[in-house]
Amino acid sequence: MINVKLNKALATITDYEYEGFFGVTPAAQAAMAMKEYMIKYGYDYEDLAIWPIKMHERGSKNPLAYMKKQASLKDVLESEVVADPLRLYDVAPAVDGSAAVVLCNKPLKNDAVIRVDGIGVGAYGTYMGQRDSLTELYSVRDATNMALRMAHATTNDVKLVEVHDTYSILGMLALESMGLVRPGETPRLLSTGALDAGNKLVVNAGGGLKSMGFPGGASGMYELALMVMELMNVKPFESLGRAELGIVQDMAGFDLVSTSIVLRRVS
Amino acid sequence: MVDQRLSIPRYWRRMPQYYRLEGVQCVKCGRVYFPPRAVCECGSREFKPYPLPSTGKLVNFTVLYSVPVEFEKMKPLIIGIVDLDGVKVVGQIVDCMNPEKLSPGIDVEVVFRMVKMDGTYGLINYGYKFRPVNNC
Ligand SMILES: [Zn+2]
Repeated sequence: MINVKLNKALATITDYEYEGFFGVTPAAQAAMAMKEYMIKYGYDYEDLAIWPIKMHERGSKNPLAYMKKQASLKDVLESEVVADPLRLYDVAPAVDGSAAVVLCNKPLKNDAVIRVDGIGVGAYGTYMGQRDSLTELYSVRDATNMALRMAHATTNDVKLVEVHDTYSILGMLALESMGLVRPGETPRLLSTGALDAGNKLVVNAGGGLKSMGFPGGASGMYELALMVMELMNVKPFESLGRAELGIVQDMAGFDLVSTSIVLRRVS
Repeated sequence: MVDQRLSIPRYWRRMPQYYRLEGVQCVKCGRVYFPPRAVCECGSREFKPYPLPSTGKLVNFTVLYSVPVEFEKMKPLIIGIVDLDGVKVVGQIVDCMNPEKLSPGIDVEVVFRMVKMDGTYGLINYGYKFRPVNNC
């Protein structure tokens, strides 16, 4: 459960003297972004509930997940309201966790080689009042463009993506800000199954932070380790097929600092 | 009680903002910023104080049930973005018993209130909040 002391700690990632000071938390920021998104694209809360449903479905098949159970629309709609319209099922559970990635420059002949092809970072101001939009994450856009440019790749080459979804709306906004999904289309595509395994683009095959849990600063490493496993087709990602290019996106705060990493399978 | 997070000198230095909603206006191009900035979009570093108007319109809001520890006794909080003559400010919306009556576009006014008791010995922090002009 979310507790008040954790909320206080989390609030320090806001523009603290002008947001956290008055009680603003990351959940409140995400909730206002969610409201703007719903008004802008004409969605109801029920439409956006598809994110936690899909993430739980993926997590139920992932033995590494923290939340290994499915969630129904009823579960989501009946969960407690954290910051209207955001509900408990929209929030990635805070967990302890760790992941490790070994980098080397001389792989053995029989190793599957996943190469780091591009990296990018982006930053943007934090005060919510000075933004002209809450539905575009500029730091994510910049980090992703930088990483793709370095990898000599375009959004069309991306087959697998791991996005930072501490709140379900942030996952959707990340996909759209990266240019992988047209703005406003994510809930529709998710509900038709177009972002599930077996399609042109697979989103958060491991269940995202929603089902893996949110280990704070380690979340980027979580996503990176999952992406390597997805590209290598190791258990439980055998069904993903031989995808060549994947991208990992992580973000601190609400559009504060973002990192994107492009990985390519070369053997 | 709650741990001290915002030091007393830092709080004191923010009084023009917390108490009077004092922004800054660029002397060269006229852009207004709240919170104040050191450098303008136009490159200038010359600013003069610019108190924001005391009425405006609600832009966006959320009813926050899961609050930080120092706000536990005031929950739920209504957190909103308010447009004060073109400058948007984030803050609490108060004096509203029925949040379902709030909607983007309604008139709000600035009020001066206690924000929280901070620190083991309870330094009381004051600042701006907003309330709907028409009762709700
Ligand atoms: Zn200027």
